[in-house]
Amino acid sequence: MGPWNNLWLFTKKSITGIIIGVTISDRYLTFVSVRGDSMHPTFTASPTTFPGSLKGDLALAERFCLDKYRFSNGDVILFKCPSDHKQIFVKRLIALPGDWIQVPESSEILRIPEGHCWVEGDNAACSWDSRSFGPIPLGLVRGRVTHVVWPPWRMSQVERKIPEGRISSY
Amino acid sequence: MSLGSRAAAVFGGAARRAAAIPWRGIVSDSLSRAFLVAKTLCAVHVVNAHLCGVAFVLGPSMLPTMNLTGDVVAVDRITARWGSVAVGDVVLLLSPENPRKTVAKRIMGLEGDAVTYLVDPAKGDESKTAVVPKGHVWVQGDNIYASRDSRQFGPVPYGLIQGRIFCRVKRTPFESIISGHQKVLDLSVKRRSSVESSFCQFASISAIYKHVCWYNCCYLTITAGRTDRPCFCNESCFDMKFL
Repeated sequence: MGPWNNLWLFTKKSITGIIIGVTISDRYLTFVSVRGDSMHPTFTASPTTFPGSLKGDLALAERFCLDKYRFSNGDVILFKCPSDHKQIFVKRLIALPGDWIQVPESSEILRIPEGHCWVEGDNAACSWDSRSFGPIPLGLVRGRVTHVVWPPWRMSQVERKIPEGRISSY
Repeated sequence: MSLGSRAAAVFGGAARRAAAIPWRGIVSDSLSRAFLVAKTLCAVHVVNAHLCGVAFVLGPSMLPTMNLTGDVVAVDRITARWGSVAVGDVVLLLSPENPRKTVAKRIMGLEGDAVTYLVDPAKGDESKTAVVPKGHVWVQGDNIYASRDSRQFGPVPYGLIQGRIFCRVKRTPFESIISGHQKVLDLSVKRRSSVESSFCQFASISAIYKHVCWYNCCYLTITAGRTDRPCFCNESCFDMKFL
């Protein structure tokens, strides 16, 4: 009876831990591993092979911003990819609803519609972002990245950065 | 007794009584109860967000499937997360125009489908065709006269879908939401002069002050004698049913 009892206790505790962990990860804070080079040098991607995948950046994302969907220009956000809902992207939010943005590489000026936002990666050369798929609905946003927590020599707060002269709020 | 010694006696007595209260027991008891409450709330959140949730849906855009004054519905989260939502399902999704608003609409086309829709049925028969891009869906409300849907804001990314509505809670045992392309086609608005009996099955509006046009040409609600929009049936709507 002894080992089964212990096993049952262990199962109960681990289920409780999982439920609490899922709740905290859904509502408050979560960790996200950055893959892909589109946000270099803010995040360094992990190589896809093991054990290289342990060397990539691990970032902390907060979900408090999803309560009122209030973001600032220059925040780094997590969002579901508009063409594949199972993938999560990390990019920088450049323009909010109502802003006018100058699309790079063309001289057109676009107004961000209500409820949408414009996202771009810091590494413009290899980033698949709003320049390809247009403004994304804010409902796809899943969190805001605030800190890099791993590796220890790259631990820092993620700063807000706005590209010069490309957006206007009028 | 002097004042000082009386005060000392009172304080000494209070200190003894305070020391006799089992503080450790009370603190550990209340902490364990608070932890139990927290665990219950976490379990409720996990079930609501990942398995099956409950929502309250109101508004005219899904008449006659949903009540104007509101319906309590059960929302299945697993189907949406798995990506196996089909055409004809009623889904709950975040509005692309306001992420703080959740709307219920019916899926009319998945990625790759070519959807033909009436642009503005109140103003004529003009219809357009659109191809739904990868990763998007085309949603429309059942009441196309009073619904802001993909005809206005275009196809929506699949990632906005929060769940599939599969059940409506009524005072009588559960009745399942009409799901399926065939019934949806019956409800699409075409100007006709004959009464469609298929309409009778779907009307579920229970408030007695609402009238709904029983001809299958318009899904108006005339609230307390005031017409929201003119009905343009070929027959006159004196057959408005009192529900």
